[in-house]
Amino acid sequence: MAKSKTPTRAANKEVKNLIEDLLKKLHTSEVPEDLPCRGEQINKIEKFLRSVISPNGESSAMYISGVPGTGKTATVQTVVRRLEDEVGPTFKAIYINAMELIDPKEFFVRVYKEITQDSKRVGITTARRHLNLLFQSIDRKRPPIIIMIDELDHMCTKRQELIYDIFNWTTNERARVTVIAIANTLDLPERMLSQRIASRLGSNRLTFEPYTHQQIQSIITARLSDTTAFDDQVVELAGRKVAAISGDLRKAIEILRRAAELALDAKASRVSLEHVQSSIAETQSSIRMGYFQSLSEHGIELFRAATTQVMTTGVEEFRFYELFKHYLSFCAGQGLDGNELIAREIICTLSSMRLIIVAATTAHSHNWWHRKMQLGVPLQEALDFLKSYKNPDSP
Amino acid sequence: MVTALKGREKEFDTICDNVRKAIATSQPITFYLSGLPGTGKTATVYRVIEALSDVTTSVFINCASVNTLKDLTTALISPAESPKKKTRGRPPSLAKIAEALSKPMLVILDEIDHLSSSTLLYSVFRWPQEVSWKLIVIGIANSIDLTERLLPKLKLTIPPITLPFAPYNKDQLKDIIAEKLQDENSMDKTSLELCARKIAAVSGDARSAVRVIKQAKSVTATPTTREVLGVLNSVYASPLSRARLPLQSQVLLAVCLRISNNKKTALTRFALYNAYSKACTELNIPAVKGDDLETAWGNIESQSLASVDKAGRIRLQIDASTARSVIANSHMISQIDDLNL
Repeated sequence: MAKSKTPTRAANKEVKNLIEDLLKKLHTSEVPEDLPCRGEQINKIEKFLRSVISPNGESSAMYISGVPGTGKTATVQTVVRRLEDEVGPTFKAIYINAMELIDPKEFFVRVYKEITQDSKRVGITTARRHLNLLFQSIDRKRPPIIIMIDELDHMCTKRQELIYDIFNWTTNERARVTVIAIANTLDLPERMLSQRIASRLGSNRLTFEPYTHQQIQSIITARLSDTTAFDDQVVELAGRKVAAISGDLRKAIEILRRAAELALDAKASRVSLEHVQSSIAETQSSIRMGYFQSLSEHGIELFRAATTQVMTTGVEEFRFYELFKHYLSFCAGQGLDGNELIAREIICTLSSMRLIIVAATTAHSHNWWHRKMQLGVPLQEALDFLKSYKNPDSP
Repeated sequence: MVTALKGREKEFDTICDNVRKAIATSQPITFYLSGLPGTGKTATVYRVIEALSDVTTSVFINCASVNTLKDLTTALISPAESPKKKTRGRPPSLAKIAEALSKPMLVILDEIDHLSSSTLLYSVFRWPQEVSWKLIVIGIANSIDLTERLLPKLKLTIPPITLPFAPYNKDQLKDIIAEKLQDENSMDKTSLELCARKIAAVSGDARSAVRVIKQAKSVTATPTTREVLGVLNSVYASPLSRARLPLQSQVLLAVCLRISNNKKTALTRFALYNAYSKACTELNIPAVKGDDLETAWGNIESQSLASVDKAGRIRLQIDASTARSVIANSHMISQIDDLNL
């Protein structure tokens, strides 16, 4: 008995290890050494940086845009790291994510500290003044500085004086300060920045397009080349699913991770299509669905009434009396005792969940019966909620 | 001898002559320089500082970071204050600072519209008259009528000498580029001319002209007209032409386009989603819901193809033909156009 048990346990353990290993590899913090499908962008950034840090390089600026999960940050950091390995400490690279800053002005302190390697506390204005002076003067001995700003849109203040200062550093050609700005919006310089900043930022743009499903597939397969716990179809399904919506690589990896966890829970030896499908289903069920399940019976009937009202009339807005009419008839069907007070109370609950939006009172709509309302979710979603709702009392 | 910036000889001479005259007669004088970005305002002033260094000292203040009276005074006393030396207590008054000056001082205020209040802006231009003629104020900003618009009262006393910097024309740009590249005379005349003409027609911004040439040079060492034209096109083409959308966002945008054709109804997000799910059923495309749908819409918004205004209405930010080229699927567009949404 004991003898026959040991090998299965060992086999189980092996499978577990296989999938756990997979989970580790799929963690989004794991940035692979080379980035497939981004060769063109890597080349451009590398060329740009090489010209900047070369002995007769000049200050310049670059703007990188792309939707989330398209490898902007990873690419820039990989290229900088590679250059650092190659040429050693002949230049200084500073990476700052503007989202991490509590106050956008902290940026100057961070840059100042990085440059001076000074651990003393320094005020924002002091740091800013010193940086402005430092980058105005020409110091042949100082190595070129590359400043990477991630999530540039978080640096935008109303007067934009912070961004102005930063890009103004790059106008002194001999100061050898280079700024690489990263953000999601394709045309941030045109849309949000004033012309004087756009003139300084220049036209050096690079766009990261959303990944296609073939790209997602090949990236993930490359990452997981030495594991066998995945079928190709599994990766393809996740890739196609994500590429159709956002092309966000992180999402695809997240789906696969969850699928692997499900497989681990189910003690399966491989991650199969079913696991991926249920993982996708999990990501799709929105938080409102949870709210919806927690509604009382009257709440469900009111919501059903609102949905029916929108369906039958085809008009988005409706008034309370129209809703109430439907609600009463649904209540009668369910054997519930509906009345106006309950309905009003529940409308309040529903509107606090944003399942139904109640218009503000106007001079003409003081009367509750004439209050304007509309659904807080798209009609299709509302129908799906109702379809998937299970009455906890019914068998 | 310091010479003027190419194409800015007149402005340079005006400033220098007036300053020298004012110093000779101890008269207060102020200047206001205006012009679009990249027209050489700041560069000209730097040369003025150098040219007048025999008779004046100077302090250059960028008002983007220094914009209160206290900061300004501190900057005036110690333009290159060392980090060690800290000024304690209240800075001395302006009059004291001016008294202590051995030579008149050029106070250059770049991006002067960043100053914290129009009262301060006003008082800055009054310094030479009220404090001392030894302070010579030169304000720099983009808008041409800043002093007239914000400071009409200046007219009552001695108004600043206003110098508008016109955008560079093509000949000036050509000279500027040629000057920048003189060490490496590898540009051929026609491509230089092309670049100068194009930029002069759009903005007259010397920065972008030089940048275009540099970019073209990074492609090949001796750029021909073709390379220069390529760079110019990539600079001036709408960035939206580079946009690429995932399938679901394409469908959403196409539906958006279809509905916005009949102007009768205001298009809200929910109305769009409803129409979208209808279109998906008709076209046999699996419709996405909930958060995924929001993500798909987010793609459209972040590429500024459409936006939602305060009232919740969706507005296309591009014309129909650009939208069609972004969707890049004429079959789907025609299918969706035929639907009755």
